[in-house]
Amino acid sequence: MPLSAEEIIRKTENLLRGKSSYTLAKMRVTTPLWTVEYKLKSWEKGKDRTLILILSPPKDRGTTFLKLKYTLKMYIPRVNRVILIPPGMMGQPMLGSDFSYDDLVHETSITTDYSARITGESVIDGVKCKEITLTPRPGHPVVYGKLLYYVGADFIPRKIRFISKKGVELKTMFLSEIKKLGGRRIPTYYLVKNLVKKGRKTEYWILDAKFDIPIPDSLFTEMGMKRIK
Amino acid sequence: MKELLILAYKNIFRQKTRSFITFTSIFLGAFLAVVGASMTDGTHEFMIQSVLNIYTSDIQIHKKGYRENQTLDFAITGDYQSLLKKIGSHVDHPISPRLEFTALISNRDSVGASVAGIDPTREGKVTGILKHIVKGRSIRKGNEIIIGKEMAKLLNVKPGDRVVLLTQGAMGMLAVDLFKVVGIFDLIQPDANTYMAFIPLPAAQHFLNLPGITTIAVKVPLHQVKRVQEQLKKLLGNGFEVLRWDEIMPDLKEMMEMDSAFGLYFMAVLMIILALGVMETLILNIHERVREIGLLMALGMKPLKLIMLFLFEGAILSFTGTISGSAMGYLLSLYYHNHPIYIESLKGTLAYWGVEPYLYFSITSPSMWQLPLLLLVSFILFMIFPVNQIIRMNPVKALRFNK
Repeated sequence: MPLSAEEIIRKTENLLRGKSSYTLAKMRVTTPLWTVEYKLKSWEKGKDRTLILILSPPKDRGTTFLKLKYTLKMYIPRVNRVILIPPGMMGQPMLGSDFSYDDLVHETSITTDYSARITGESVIDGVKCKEITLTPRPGHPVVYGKLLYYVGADFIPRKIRFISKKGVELKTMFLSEIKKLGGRRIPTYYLVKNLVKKGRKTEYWILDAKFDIPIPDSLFTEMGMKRIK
Repeated sequence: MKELLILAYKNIFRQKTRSFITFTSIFLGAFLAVVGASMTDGTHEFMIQSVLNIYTSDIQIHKKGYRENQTLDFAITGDYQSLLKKIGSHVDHPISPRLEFTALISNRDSVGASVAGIDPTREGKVTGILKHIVKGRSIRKGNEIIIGKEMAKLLNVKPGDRVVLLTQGAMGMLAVDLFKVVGIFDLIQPDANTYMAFIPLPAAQHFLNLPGITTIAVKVPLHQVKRVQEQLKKLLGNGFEVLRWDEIMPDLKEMMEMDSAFGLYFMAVLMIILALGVMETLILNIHERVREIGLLMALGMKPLKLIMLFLFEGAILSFTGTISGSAMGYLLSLYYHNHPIYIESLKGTLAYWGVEPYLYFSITSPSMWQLPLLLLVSFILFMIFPVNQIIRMNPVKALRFNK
């Protein structure tokens, strides 16, 4: 009995996130004129709670993002203030990268916001992948018009294409370097190529990961945002 | 030739009423054309200037590629001070350097904003933004900010409060800092009150870690914009973009042009009706004087001279009518140019464009001389018909012509 598209996407989510997870990662944004690199720690619990902490560059150390359902807050230690990122800004790039705030908020709730169906098959890096088209469920606040996931039999997506509501292909994400981390085989290198602003790309390396670990609820509060080191 | 002129002159005064009617219609036509043109273009110029005066300015200079990308990667860095001096010494108009960027302005709740680092003294000579501060004061130096009244409401701040500015600075760095709200402005354009904000230029440069500017705004009288643009393009060469207001805000230009086109059609129809009316009086004139023409012909006056006589008559009336009508029209326009008429009922409609509801008169509109000239040319062209009548006349038949 073959799995339905929705089930595949759910398995993918469970594989990459688990019930809870901790990640240490490095992100590098490259444009024709400059490059900037961040080291990030993140914690996730359930489908809708994420905390991201910037470790470096030193100037931005301690800056945190807290996502609770559809709201996103940012804490900036330099000015000791919490900022609410308004819904209208969710399509904007986060930290100058090719990830939008929306990618961060919605990454974990794909099955909630999108309906999925299998629309084809293709081979990526020698791996046979199912093409799954995700379209927003009516009434769900998302910025994309369509997402195309290319998922292997191991439930690891090899490629994701992001298409705007106007039908313009915005960016493509490639996932590779599958390694065993935190007891699971996961992709550890994410590459996002910006198709609108040519010459821009964002790379994301997962350096360490743990899954299904206990994380106190108090971390996902404004107090937690300010205290976490 | 001289005799013909005297004769034409005498003929005009022989039929005082008819000549007066012809003269009056020409006079009124020219007068209305000039006043109408002055009013239409004056109002448009005023609206355009009002919109540009809020913030856009008449000419903007950027580094090449800025307009398309609108990012700090296309800022003018390095020795921009000497660039400003160079422009200032070649162009005798006020200029203002700006460092423009988009940012999140936050007081817990946040709004997306279009922020500009400006030099208040120089900006004050180019645009009127700083004149519209309704609470507090203008920016001076350091981390000070002025915001629109709608933004103040959204953020729930008043002068003295601090807000966070957050954006991507130079080289992709995260730029975050606190700015003190020192003033709140209220522009007539309601939109601008929600998204515009201003900080001192040095504070912007420090904040973004970018010792440069993105824009040089130039204030130029509208009718000189094209010439100054060419001058600046030549001066600055290929590394820069010199943009006219109508390249920056094409929708504004389109709206004005559409409105002008309607005005022009109306005027053209008016001119044609007028010219036809004048032609009719000339034909009547000839019709009344058939026997006189026959007599002159019988006496041996050459048809060419006869035609000249009638042309002179028409020409004297059209020239004096057009010139005095235009002159009167110009004088009236000049008066209202200096004393614009305020129209209370248009206040609401024009607020969107940030325009105050004045009926404004131009004295530099090209239509003000183009329309009277068109009038004159059409009079002379329409004289072909009466002249044609003279040519076809037979002296014998004309002499026996009974009215």
